[in-house]
Amino acid sequence: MRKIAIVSGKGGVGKTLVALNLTTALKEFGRDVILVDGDLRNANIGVYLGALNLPFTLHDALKYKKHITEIVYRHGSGLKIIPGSISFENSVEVEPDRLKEVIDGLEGKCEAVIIDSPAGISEESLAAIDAADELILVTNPEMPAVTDALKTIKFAEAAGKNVIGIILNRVENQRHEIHASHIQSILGKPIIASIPEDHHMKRSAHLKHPVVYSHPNSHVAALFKDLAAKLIGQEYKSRLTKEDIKKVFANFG
Amino acid sequence: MNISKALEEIKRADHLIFVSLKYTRTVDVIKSIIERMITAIDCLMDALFEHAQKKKKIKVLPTAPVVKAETIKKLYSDDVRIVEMMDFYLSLRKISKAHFTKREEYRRHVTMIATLEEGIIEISIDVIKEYFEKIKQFIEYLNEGVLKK
Repeated sequence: MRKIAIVSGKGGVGKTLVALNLTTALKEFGRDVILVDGDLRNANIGVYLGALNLPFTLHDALKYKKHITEIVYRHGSGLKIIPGSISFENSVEVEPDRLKEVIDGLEGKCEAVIIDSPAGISEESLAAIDAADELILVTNPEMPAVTDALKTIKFAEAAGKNVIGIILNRVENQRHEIHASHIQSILGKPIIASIPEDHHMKRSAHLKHPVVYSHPNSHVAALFKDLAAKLIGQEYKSRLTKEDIKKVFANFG
Repeated sequence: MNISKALEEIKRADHLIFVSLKYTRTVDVIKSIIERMITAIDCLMDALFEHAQKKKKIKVLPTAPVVKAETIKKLYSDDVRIVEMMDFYLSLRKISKAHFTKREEYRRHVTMIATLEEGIIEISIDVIKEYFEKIKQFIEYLNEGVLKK
């Protein structure tokens, strides 16, 4: 079972939406993947999917009340999730130390686990990093986010984790943004996806669906599918290449 | 769709009660009837989830049976019959997993004796028939009431 944590140095870079859509895209390729809300103090995957009032959550598994396999939920999109509790009491009382042990309880139940981690370097984010074998770092093309991302990479490498690469999120191609090649040289990791700021993302959030499910033909959905295909080493052609277009027109003589 | 699956399961249970159990009078048959009943209620729970989704009462569905029952109890907390059926489902699951012994096999009063944490439960032909009627009436109740709303 692959365990991939989606991490970031700074909060608000769009990590949860990336995790949601990457998991949905992996599912579209027929992979049995579960998304775990590893942000134990600010769990919000349930909120993004419109599922606020769930009887049991990851917090119950951490408190030995339920086994993790009992708290797997299925969203209308087919996405399997393990949500965290949104209650204040649970967020305060939670002990993140058991996260790895609890997530390991999914061994043999799915092909991969995607862990949506908290931002920065805190007790909870360290627990999420510890629970994973591989990391994907999400950042915005802005200096504060990139410098914080560097700290997270250093920490992850010190913990012996494999950082697969960087996802640049909310890219607007504005002059004030740091160029992708600079980010790559600062962080010393490859950029595996560049996701633009896209109105489809906002619409899908309003619909409480991942964009890959609600707007499967959008450019941004194709980018998530590209990313998922890269992760599993599968070929995926999201758009027509120049050669494809030539072939189509060749048929008309 | 889920209701028709439940009906199919209950038909199989009907055959087991009125044919297999009548002629064999074994605890193994009682045990398979309980399994059929659990599957039938599972299908009914899926039908209730479908209905709740249509009514926009729920967005994500649990996959574990016990959590499914607990969620339905919450979703339909104002419907005593549904809540009761979920408790019945949970106890059937406990019975099916419990250690059991056999009494008076091959006779009219064949009984499965299940040892649960809560105590001992004896399931005879009359008891299993009662269970069967309860589920049949519940299917009718859902079909003609709750799911039509």
